Amino acid sequence: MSDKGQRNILEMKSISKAFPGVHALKKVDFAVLEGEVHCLIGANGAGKSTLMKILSGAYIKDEGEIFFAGKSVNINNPTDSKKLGISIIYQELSLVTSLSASENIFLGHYPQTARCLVDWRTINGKAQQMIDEMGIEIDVKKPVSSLSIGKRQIVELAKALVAEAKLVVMDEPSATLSSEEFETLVKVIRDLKAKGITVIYISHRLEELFRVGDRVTVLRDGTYVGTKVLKEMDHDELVEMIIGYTLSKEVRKSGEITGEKLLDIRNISTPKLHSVSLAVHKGEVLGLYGLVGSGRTEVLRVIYGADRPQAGTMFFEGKKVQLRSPVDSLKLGIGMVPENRKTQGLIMDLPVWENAALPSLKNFSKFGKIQYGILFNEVQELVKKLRVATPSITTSVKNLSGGNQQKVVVAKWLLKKSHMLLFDEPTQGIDIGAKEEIYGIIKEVANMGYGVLVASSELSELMQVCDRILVMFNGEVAGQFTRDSYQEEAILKCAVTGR
Amino acid sequence: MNKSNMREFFSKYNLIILLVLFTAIASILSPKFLTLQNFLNLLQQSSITGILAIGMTFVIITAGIDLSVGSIVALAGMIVAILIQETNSILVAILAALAVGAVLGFINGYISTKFVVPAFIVTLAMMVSARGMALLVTEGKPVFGLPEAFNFLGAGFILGIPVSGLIWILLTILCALVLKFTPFGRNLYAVGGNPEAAHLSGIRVNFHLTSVYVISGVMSALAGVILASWLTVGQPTAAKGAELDAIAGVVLGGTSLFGGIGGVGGTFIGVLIMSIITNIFNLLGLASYYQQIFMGLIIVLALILNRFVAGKKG
Repeated sequence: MSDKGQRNILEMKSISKAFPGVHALKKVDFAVLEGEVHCLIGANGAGKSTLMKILSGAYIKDEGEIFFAGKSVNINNPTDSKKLGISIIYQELSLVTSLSASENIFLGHYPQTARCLVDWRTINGKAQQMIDEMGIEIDVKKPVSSLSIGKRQIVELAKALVAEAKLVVMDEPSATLSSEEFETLVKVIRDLKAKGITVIYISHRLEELFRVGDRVTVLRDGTYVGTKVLKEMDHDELVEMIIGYTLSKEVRKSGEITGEKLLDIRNISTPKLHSVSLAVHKGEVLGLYGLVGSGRTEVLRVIYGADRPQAGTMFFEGKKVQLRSPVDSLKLGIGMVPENRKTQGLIMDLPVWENAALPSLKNFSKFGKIQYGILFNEVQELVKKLRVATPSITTSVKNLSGGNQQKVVVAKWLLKKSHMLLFDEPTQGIDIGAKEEIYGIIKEVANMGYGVLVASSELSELMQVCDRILVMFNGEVAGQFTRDSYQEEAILKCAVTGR
Repeated sequence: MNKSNMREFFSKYNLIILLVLFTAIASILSPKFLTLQNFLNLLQQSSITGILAIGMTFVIITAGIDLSVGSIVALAGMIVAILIQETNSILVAILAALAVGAVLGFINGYISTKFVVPAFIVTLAMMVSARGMALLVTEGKPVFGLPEAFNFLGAGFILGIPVSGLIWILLTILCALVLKFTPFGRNLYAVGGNPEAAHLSGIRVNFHLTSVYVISGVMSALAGVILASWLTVGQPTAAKGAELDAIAGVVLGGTSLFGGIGGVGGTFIGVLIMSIITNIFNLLGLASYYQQIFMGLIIVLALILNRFVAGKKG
């Protein structure tokens, strides 16, 4: 990639940034060649978002210099970076969902007619053409709110193209994509590259970096670790760079299941599930794997009481139960750690303790008054036990990193003294360091005697934490694998073909 | 028509359906309703609220609210009445009143964006102070004796159509075009729908937020001028509670209080529906208390209908 004569389109030299009490950047260097796909990676607090925010103008650096296309530049606000041709696609998509896709694509740069009016024909026509060229089916006249997350991402990309971006930064683009949508993304990135557009790609899924990236820069604890050509290194080397020490793959002991049956569902059917039976034992981590649309999520929804099955029976701790709503499953002691913690799991503005205590406030009340002393003590203990990195339990959860937010959701159910925890995509949008910790917590929770069900689209993750893996296909349980029979190819084949 | 099509149909045209429904009810109740004369009366009666509601639509599209419009109506009415007598120039007086509306609107917008104070609070404060100013200029006394010529705006006719109604219609069309076809208009939707995204797209969020209060202030002042012209008096206690009528018209017209969705066309029909309901009650000779109860019901029902249809779609 680094042919002679290829120049740096972006050079950030010895960038520093300090926040009161929060992690910062310490003299970080970052250089990106024109036309390459450059990956940026690092654990929580490594500084990659801060670095990108400085590039975008959302933060202002304390020290250092930025060169863009060879010239020293000052970036003081998002408009400055836009003018330079830097487009940032944020993980929290920054689209106006009430407006149409085409309008979003041209947001801030509406084509105008001679009379300075908005040229709707050009907007809709050009937008449709761009989207079609990417080979994706989107009706650009429909509001963004009607599009899937993956398609919204494509709209974001189109927006960057319209802004005539020279450098596109993608912050965790794949975190919310299905595997097919990811393939589209890969294709679009190649298109961008072919057009000479430089891409900075931030992701925690290492496999992806090897697929899409040319080079990678690793940050750790706000410092620059190194830049390498991806072709010349392997997965483990990269992980070592990220975490700073050699990786030891700790796995749970072979899946002997000793506990009694906690949850037992038999022949459950819904419009999307066909006679699904499964059991979760105390102290067991059961994995649910399957492609998008296989019924993985639907099983969770039934167990959580969000969908009512049309047929079948469900036993919890040996008793036959009927769940009419999530309230029923909560009462039984089933806790859900949802896929989207920001909207479904947490109230971002509330402090750690209040989020943790939300479902169990009643348990901590005496004569209708909340016993704050006891409550705070217990939350404090849990925070320690789960190693939630937070200044205090009165900090708003929005100030915590993704991994720590996830821990607060887990704390919520531990505090409630649930018997079973459901995890839906537990490590989505969480960096690799925190991922390991979440895995640790899942195992720990199981060792404490809870039953744990994990639904995930990352097979490696399930193979690492689960005692058993059930593979869903077309609304049915297509296969079961125990730890001693884990074989990636076999499980994948089962998920794809149903056999 | 299948179920989902039907829903779409209802969500798209529920306003028109309501309008047709109430027009039908009114014309059954009284043969006088469906006459040109009555319709023209309706236009005139609705124009004040209608013009306020246009400004309010701009504000609500950006997810804001303007409670000061009623007080600005009164203040503008006082200013125009006093200045006509002082300067003998109707044009100067009107321009001065509009300018005051713009300045007060600017203050609303500037304070709420610069100091990040909720618009509800800022405009509530403005509602109280502007009313105070209106009362202060004459120590609470109305201003009489306005010249005949000034009467044209509020009570005059062009080709048999009331001028105030005509102004309302023209402003609605103009503003609908601005909202649909100018970058400024589209930016307002973006700012209302997702200010963060708008900011990151290089849209000047604070400028747009401030400008809608200026628009609302000018519209209010214009409504105040028309009202003074219609009543031939500057009345410091005029238009009390007008902000709520305007908000009701906007919301009934399908503009979302959460911002990013809506438009002045819907507002026009929303205000018209409210006037028809009032009209029906007047034709029936029922006390206005019933009107108020019923109006409240209609607003809530329309919102529920909207919500229901929209919610089921997703």
